[in-house]
Amino acid sequence: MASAGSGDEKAAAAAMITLISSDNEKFEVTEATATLSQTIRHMIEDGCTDGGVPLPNVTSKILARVIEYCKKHATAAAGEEGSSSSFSDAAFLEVDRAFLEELEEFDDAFLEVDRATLFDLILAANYLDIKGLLNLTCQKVADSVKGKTPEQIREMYNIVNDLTPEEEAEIRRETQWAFE
Amino acid sequence: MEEEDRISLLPDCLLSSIVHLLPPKAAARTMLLSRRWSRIWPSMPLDLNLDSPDSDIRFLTAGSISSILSSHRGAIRRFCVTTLAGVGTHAWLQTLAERRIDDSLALRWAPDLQHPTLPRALLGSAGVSLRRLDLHCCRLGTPNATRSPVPTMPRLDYLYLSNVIISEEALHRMIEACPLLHELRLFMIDGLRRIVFRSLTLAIMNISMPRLPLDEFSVRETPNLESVTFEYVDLWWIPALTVGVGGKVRELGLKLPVVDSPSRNIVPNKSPLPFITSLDFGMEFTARGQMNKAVQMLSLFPCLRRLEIGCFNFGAMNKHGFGEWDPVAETVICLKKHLQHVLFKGFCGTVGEVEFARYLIARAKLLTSMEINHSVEWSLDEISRQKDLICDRGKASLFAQLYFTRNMISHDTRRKKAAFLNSVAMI
Repeated sequence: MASAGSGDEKAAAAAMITLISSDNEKFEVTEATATLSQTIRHMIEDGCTDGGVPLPNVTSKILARVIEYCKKHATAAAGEEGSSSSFSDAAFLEVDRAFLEELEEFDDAFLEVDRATLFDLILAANYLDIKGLLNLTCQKVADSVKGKTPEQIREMYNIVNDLTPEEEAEIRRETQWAFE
Repeated sequence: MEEEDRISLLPDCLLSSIVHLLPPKAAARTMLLSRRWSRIWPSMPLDLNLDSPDSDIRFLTAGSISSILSSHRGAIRRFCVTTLAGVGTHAWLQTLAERRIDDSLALRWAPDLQHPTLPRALLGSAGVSLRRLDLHCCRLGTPNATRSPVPTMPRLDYLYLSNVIISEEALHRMIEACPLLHELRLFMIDGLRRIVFRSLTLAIMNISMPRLPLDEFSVRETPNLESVTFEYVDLWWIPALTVGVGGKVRELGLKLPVVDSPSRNIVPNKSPLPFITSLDFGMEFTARGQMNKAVQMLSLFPCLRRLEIGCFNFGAMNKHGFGEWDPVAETVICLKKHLQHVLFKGFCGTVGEVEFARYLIARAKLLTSMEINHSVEWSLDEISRQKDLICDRGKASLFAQLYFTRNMISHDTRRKKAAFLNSVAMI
C-alpha cells in the first residue's frame, strides 16, 4: 500500500465496507457495490456496518462470486443514471449498446458454474436480497427445466418422487393440458 | 462423488421464484415432480399469460381452462387466454366469475363463431380489482342495454374491446364506470357511431375500424386526453368531429391503408386535416403514380410532425427506377413547417423506396430524424451505401439524422436495444 493519511484517501476509505464471510474471510468493497444488496443497504442506513458486516450464511467462495457480480452491475447502474434513454441521442445509444452487450456477456460467463455453486448463489442472492442476481440465477434453473419431462427433471436434479401412483395419476389428469 | 439433491435444499419461496419464471405448461408440469413440488404451483398466484412471448402455449380449449381452474384454486393475478367458444365455455366462465382476478383479464375467442356472453359477476365481483381488461369476440350485456355491464371498475387502467358486442349506450356508461381509466382501445365495435363520453382520466385513445361510419366524435368531456389514434377511420366523413379545442391533445394520429389499395382508397379532392400530427400508411413503391399520390396525400396533413411508412415490397425490385423523381413540394406544407420524424418500416432499398426517402430528406426543412428500419440484414458497408443513395441530393434540415435499425421480431427489449442501432451521421 502507498503511504496513508491524505484527506482524499480517508474520504475514499469512508465509502468502503468490509464484508466477512462465514469462514471469516474479509472483503473490502465500495459502498456502491455493497448496496446492490438491499440487506446490506439497510444495515448501512441503520449505521451498523462498523467493524465489518458478518455474513454467516455465505462462504468466501460464494461471496467472492457475488462481489464480482455486484461490482460489474454497480458500474452498470451508475452508467444508467447518467444517461436518459432518449432514442434521438445517437451517441448514447452507441455507448449503451456496447455496454449492454458486454453486460450480457458477463452474465452468461458468470452463470458458467456447476449446479452446487448455482444453488449456493441463489441462496446468497436471496439472503442478501440482490434482485438482479436472484433473477439471473433462478432463470438459469428455469431454462434448464423448460421443455423437459418430469422424469428428466427428477433425474437432472435428483428429485425423489414420493407421490403415490394414485396421486400421480390424479395430478396427471388435472395437468393433461400441459402435456398436449 | 455422492450427489446431493441440492434443489430440494432451496426453501419453498425460492422454488416458487423458479416456477414463476417458467412458461405456463412447464410451470404446471412441476406439480408431478414430487409431493412437495405438487404444492408449489397451486400455492402461487395463478399467472396464466398466453400472450407472453415466452409462453409455451398459444391456445386453450374450454376443457383445459376448466382443468386449470380446478387444479389451481388460489388467487389469480393474470388470466390471459385465447380459446374457442363451444361446449364448456359457459361452465368455465361461471367458475371464473366466482373467483377473483387481481391484475389482468384477457379473454379472446376465435373470431366469427359465437360471441359468448360474459357473466355479469365476472366483471363485477370477480373483476373489481382488475387493472387491465382485454376482450375479443364476446358479448357484454343485452342488445339494447342502456346501463353499464359493470357496476364499477375502480382500478381499471387499460381497456381494450375488439369485436365485442355491446350497445353504444352501455359502452359509454361502462367507460364512465372506470374512474381511473388511462387507455382505451376500441376495435370493430358493432353499432358504435358516436364517441362521446365523460372521463376525467383518459389519456390515450385508439379507435380502429368501426363497422359503421362514425357520426360523432368529441373530446369535449375528456379533458386529459393526450393522444388519439384513428385507424382506418374515414375522418372526412364524420359530420360532428371535435378535436383539440382547448384540451391537452398533443398527438392525433391517423393510420391509413396502403396507397392504391382497392378496398379503401383515399379519393382525391379531400379537404386538409390540420389537426393530424402523425400519419401511418403503407406503400409498394412500384409506380410513379402511386408515389405521386402519396405526396398528394401528404399535402392533406399540413401539421404533420411524424410520418410512418410501411414498405410493402411485393413486386419486383424495380432496379431501373423511374428517372429523376422530384414532385413539387410547394403544396406539401408539412414538409416546410412541421415534419420532424420519418420512419420507414420494412425498408428493402428498392429504387422507389430510396427515391421517396431522398425526396423527404431533401425537402423536409425541420426534419430531425429519419429511421430506416430494414427488413434484411445489412453490413455496415451496405448501410453506408444506402445512406449515400438516400442523401445524394443533400438534406433540407441541418439537424436531420439518418438511423438504420434492423427490423427484428423479438420481444426481448434488452436485446432489441442492444442490437438497435447503426447510426450514420450525415455530412
